[in-house]
Amino acid sequence: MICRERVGELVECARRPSEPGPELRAHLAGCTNCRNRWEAEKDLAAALESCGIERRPGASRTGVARL
Amino acid sequence: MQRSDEELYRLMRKGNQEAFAQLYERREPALYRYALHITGSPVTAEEVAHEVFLQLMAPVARFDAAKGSLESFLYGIARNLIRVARRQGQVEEVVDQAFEHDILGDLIQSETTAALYRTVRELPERYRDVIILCELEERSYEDVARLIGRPIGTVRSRLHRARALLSAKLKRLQTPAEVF
Repeated sequence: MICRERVGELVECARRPSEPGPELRAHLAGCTNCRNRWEAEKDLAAALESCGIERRPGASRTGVARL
Repeated sequence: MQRSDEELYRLMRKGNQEAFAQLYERREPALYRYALHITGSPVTAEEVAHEVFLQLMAPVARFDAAKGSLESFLYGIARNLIRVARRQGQVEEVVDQAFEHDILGDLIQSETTAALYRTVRELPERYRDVIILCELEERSYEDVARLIGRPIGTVRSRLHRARALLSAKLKRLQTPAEVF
């Protein structure tokens, strides 16, 4: 099990993205579960980064006209 | 100074078409993307976004500013419409077609991304919504809390859980099945 109090910190570091601070780094060095979660969070952040649906050009005024 | 959604809505109810156009331009694109993320179908997403504004224009006004923001109200309508579309089987049927015909091909660049979209859609609604709004739409926790009508702490905890679920599902997809 991952250490509950660390989850938020790991997620926020992966989302920003930024490297964990000294205290969290020290924890990761000694905790396999949290280290695995950290790796998974970084992978997920990279995958999410490549997503996104662009706004359709010129869709809005066309839509208003339809209503 | 930019008018708030609620001001535009009040003007719209009095027959001001420009106010309605402004409101539509401001909110429709994100509602469309939200519906597209969930359904995977541009057609359904278009219909949902369109129907949201039709309902907003209905003669009997259901929006009550005392109960929350107009934006939150619009997302609520969209969620209900998407639920109906899913119950009617419209969503699942068109998802695969959308990918087969490469409708999103220009936007979805890799298999991993396509898998990610599918996996997001398969998440339970409470987790799916926070992933879409926080991660794909990059809305703040405060915004998302307002939009889904839950405390910020709930948004955070749902996001943490959602990311863990998403990560585990993606990992399973990426791991080749064992051959016996």
